[in-house]
Amino acid sequence: MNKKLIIIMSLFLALTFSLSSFALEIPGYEGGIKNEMIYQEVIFITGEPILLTGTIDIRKTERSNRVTERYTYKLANPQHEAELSRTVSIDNDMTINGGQKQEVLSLNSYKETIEVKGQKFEVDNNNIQWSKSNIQDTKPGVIYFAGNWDARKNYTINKDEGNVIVETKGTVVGYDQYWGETETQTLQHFIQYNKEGETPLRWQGTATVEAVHNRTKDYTYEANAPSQISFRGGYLLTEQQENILKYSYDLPRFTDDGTLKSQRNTGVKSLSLDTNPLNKRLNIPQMKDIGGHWAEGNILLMASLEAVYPNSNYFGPSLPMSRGDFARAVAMVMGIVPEEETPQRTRSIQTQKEEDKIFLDVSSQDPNQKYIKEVKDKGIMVGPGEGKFLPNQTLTKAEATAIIVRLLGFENMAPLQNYNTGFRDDANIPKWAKSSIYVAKELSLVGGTTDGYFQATKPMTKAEAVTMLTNLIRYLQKELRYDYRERIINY
Amino acid sequence: MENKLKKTYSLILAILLLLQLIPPISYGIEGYTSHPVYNGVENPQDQLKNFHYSDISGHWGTVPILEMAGLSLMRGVAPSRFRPNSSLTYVEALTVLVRAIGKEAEAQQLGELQAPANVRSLLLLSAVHNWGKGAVQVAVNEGIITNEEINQIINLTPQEQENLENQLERQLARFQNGGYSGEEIAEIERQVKEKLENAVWNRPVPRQQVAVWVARALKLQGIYGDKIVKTYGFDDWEQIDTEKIPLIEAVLNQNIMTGITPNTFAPRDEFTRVQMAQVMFNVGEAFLVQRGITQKIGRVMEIEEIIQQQQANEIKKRVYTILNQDNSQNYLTSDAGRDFLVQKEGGLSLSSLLEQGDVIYYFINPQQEIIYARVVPTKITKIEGFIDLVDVDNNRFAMTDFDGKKHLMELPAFTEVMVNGVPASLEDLIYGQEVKATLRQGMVVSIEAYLEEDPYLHGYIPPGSKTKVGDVLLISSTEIELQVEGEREKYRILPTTIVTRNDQHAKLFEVKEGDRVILSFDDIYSADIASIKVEDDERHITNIYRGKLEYVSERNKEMIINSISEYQGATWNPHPQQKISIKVEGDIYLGGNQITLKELSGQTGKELYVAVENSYGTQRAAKVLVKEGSTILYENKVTGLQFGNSRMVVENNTISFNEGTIVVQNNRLVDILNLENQQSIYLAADLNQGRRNATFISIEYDGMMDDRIDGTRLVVYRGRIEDLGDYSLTLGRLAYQLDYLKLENHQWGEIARPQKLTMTEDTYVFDSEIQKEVPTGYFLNSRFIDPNQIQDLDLRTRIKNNHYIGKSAFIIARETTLQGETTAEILGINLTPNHFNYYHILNTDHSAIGEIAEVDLDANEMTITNLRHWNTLSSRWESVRTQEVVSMEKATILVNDKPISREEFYQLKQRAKVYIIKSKASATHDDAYIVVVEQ
Repeated sequence: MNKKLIIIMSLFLALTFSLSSFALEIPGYEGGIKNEMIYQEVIFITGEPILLTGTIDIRKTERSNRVTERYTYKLANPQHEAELSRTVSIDNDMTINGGQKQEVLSLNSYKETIEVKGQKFEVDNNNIQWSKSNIQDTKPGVIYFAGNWDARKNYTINKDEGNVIVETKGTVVGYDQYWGETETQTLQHFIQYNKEGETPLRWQGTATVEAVHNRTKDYTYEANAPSQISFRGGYLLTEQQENILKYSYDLPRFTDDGTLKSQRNTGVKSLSLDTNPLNKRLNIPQMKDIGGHWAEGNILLMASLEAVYPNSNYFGPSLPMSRGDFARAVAMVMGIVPEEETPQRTRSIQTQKEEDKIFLDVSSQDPNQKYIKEVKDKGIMVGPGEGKFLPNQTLTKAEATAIIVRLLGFENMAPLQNYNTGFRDDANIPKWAKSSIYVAKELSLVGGTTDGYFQATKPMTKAEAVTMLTNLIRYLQKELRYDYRERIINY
Repeated sequence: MENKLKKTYSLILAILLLLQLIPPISYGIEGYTSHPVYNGVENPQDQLKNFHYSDISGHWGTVPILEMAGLSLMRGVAPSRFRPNSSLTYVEALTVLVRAIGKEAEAQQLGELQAPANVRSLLLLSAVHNWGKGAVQVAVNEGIITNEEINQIINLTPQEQENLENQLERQLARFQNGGYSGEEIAEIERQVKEKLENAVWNRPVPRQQVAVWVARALKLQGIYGDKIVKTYGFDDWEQIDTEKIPLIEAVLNQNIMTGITPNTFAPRDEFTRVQMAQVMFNVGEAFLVQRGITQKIGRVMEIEEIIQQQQANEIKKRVYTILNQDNSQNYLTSDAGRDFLVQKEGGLSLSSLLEQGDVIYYFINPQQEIIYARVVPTKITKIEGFIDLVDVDNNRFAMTDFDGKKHLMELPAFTEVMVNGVPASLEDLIYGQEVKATLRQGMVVSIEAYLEEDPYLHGYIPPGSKTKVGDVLLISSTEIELQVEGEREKYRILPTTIVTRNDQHAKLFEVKEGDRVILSFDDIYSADIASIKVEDDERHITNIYRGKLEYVSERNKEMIINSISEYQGATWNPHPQQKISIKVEGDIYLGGNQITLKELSGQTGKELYVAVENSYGTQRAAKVLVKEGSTILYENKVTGLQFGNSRMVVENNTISFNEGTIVVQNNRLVDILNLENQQSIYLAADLNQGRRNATFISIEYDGMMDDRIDGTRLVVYRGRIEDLGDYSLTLGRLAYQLDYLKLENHQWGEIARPQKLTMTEDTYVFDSEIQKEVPTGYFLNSRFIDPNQIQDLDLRTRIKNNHYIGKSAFIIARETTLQGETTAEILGINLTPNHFNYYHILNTDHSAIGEIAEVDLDANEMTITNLRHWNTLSSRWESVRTQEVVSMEKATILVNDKPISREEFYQLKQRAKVYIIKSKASATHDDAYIVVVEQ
């Protein structure tokens, strides 16, 4: 008896584990949003927009390259006397090709029942056409993805009183990285309502639903109130999800007894569901030599993130940034932290691990070695070639820029062939760094001096490097989000 | 049991691991790297002294001779002489071979053992002699030389035998009177005899003999039968001793030896010392392995000078970083005590000869020391042509040069690949590409590939892919000025520039100051805008609050305000909610200075002005200003606006403004620069120490009838339809002594001359008396049409009777001024056949502006807030504090210049700006006749 229970429990655990292994939080494909407690979605099938609230249950089981997703919706809106239940099972076949992942989704089973004021709309397997596909591109620091789906649902009205055909064209686009994640879904519905019987009713309507899921990591400096405390304050890292639902509709108007009226019912509405922020206090840096420095805030932040060594007493903001230290900083800022070898209790002795020789000049004793290996493996920093990394050499502005652009995977956004970056010392920009510098300038990730020089080959000071990374964080938090959210749903 | 085994095994492993973790007592830099480090050998300087050959400079065999020196295989006859062209002797040949197989020490020991004791101090048999003897013995033991060969060598002709005996006698005669004992004499005789006998070994060795010995030393198998090919290629092969042919063929086969000419092997000719050096050089690694020497090939990547502190001693070290052909890495080190020989460009010296970039062969002895390195001559060849094949997996590369010759190259790991001057990898090379390969002594060091560039594509980007996001600061028909992160940037608007809003086409004048826009460009250099995307009203200012700051949460970016009043239609009304939580991020000001959220929390308890946007259902502060002082309110026109010293005059009061002043126009937060002289504003100011500082300015928007940036403007006429023509309408006087009217600056003015206006099929015609739309075609052609086609009875009668000619109407037209010429096009006509305007004094029409609060489609009414009426006496807008319901039953409505039909009233949006021309119908009710909407 007990054994059985344990088996069941462990099975259950295994199931939940496979669930949590999925990174992107997609609450179904129907343009809904959710937070920790509720799920919301709008339906237009009755001719008026009804916001339904309830729960969604998502289960995913993974088998080699196939994921089966099972969605169970239970939604209601008491004011409109509306209720919806929907169970969907979808097969997701994945093909991984280098840094790209292709997903082709197909419907296994579908059942949906909507009941509004006594009227019942139903769809099942036989009345739905459905297809969806996504593509995902993995870049060193960011994963980008986009997808499309098309569906045609044919609802029956009270079983035999006609039908409602809802044609939906959907697109999804988004990204995922350490500082933020956005997924924007756009659905275009075309609704044809044909009720037959004693009082026939026919109308057509359109609706656009835009659902945005966003997760942003943010940081604030929390100062301590007492003055007699060993540290003045520290950074707090928060992570919060913002989910936005925006919909516009063009539907008919009805009289109280349900017949059509002149003119149309149009409108735009938006609402959001935020999650409670997750808090994490960061280390308190010990540096003594950065107080009052122009980049103090940035340095403190980087030290708190352990991107620069937080425990050393001195930082030396005007000293040059070494390539090795920058590798560490980039890895920490982007959350690309090499996996620590966790001592396992079952094995008292660890087998000897083969030493990775990544660069001629990076010894295994180098404290930055694991970060250098990681940024090298991800293709973020490749070294000047010839098997060297030059960890103890200075980092030029051109190098740092190229690294940041490579992180984002934007190298190919630059113009073709010969062009001018617009800096006065354009001619002095090394050819290999030109496209990165152009892209970074366009995205305001880097700038020139006040008089318009870029100074590509000038070694960066630690303060400058740290500021550049702080800019990168801001870009990853805000600008990228604007491009994927506001730019799509507000324009 | 098994477990136990595992345990012991793992224990051993652990110990091994631990041992590895403890760094060996290191000499030098081992501890700093995970790659092998080879130190130089001790005292190479002294060794070097033995190789100062003065007789080899310019000799073809310099390289092998110095290689022999570096590998200690052949020495000179003296420190300064190698005698390259002297004949090689039997014993020299054997000594070299014995040395090459690593048995020199053995040979020397053997020679030493057999060396007879010297008679007194006479040195008759030298070490050379003894060691030579040992070498011969080792050679015998190793099977290099056969007994038959020895016999052949030491077998003397009778004449030689006689000569030898004569010599012996002559030499012995010198010792006869030296007072040696008989025993001693006998010993001397024995030694002298041995020396003389041994002299046969110092005779020149024939070529065929050397070839055979080398073959045996290398343990080559003889080649027999039809496999013998090379030997037969020589004309003189028949002179070779029969038993030597198979081994000679093997040696020839391995390219260790060649003939003296392509057709002559000269088997019985003498062999020179330099030829021996060359042969040993050709054999290369095969012998080295026997001596435990490893040969490696690599490139000097870096040379560093390191100073090592060791117990008060300073050791200067040079560290050479070597990247090997197989992509592994080593370090070579040298210092004052340890170094290694280097051959470079015909010279032999120490490691200081090495330079960065040198490709070297280098040799490591069994003690893991570097003994010698040879720099591959820095002869650089360049091959230019086209790529045939790129084999990424095997690091191979094939190309055809411009002469049509094919080249197949192995690519060492250190090969640099460039495409158009930018670092690339092997994968980036493509078939047919023009390419230049640079070789250093046959080793490919760099590949430069070129891709043809089309000059027309320099700087090409996909059209529209360059974008810019910013807030509109100023806009005209040709230019837009944006605020992008505090910077002002100007771009050019072309007639081809596309304007969209919510993905729908929009007119340029719909882009308002304060709007956020995304500009896109087709070209990276040009400021010409390809398209302007305008943000919808998601971020528009929905509320202006004045309230007391209660709490700021820095990390949640939130604040709570209480005692709130809200600005609505020029009044501050108490807000129904006691407390409101507002998201707040940036744009917080205190007296003209931007402050942080943290600083704002220090202002708790003070009053704030907050401009709020309601994006995505959340209240967000677009701008916050801390109130400092007592409030004074004005509602009037701006006079005397001076941006230079940030001052303006309102109602004869000087009011200063700053960065923090909240300026709102058209529901958008705008810059103070958008303020214009003579504009009607609502202003809240703080009176602080006698100064008045503007805190909140609402620019009352009445510009719907003004000239617009695209050169158009809307005009409204009130007149009588005198005539209808071919797409034209003639407007004439309203009544006797009353000319027709035109709305100018919100006032009706009389115009005497009749005017012909253009009509189109799109002109909207509405009869507000019977509240029916008149199909434009019928209206225009009312003289020619068959009225029976009109179904509506009332309309039919009216059209039939030319009812509208001579009757009054409101006409709204769009004037376009292009190059000084003005044309007017009628957009809408509101027919009012039974309105009679007898007196020009009594005018019941008046203008009003406001915002739509609500549209009731069923009642055909709209509710207007922020309503202001035009006061014709004072020539200004006067606020109405209440909302007003306006009937749309008689109205012709224009939305963004497009007339909408009776069925399209649902398109009117809340908070849209309206300009209404209405008429008093009764004491309580107004009828709108012309409604201009911007939304």
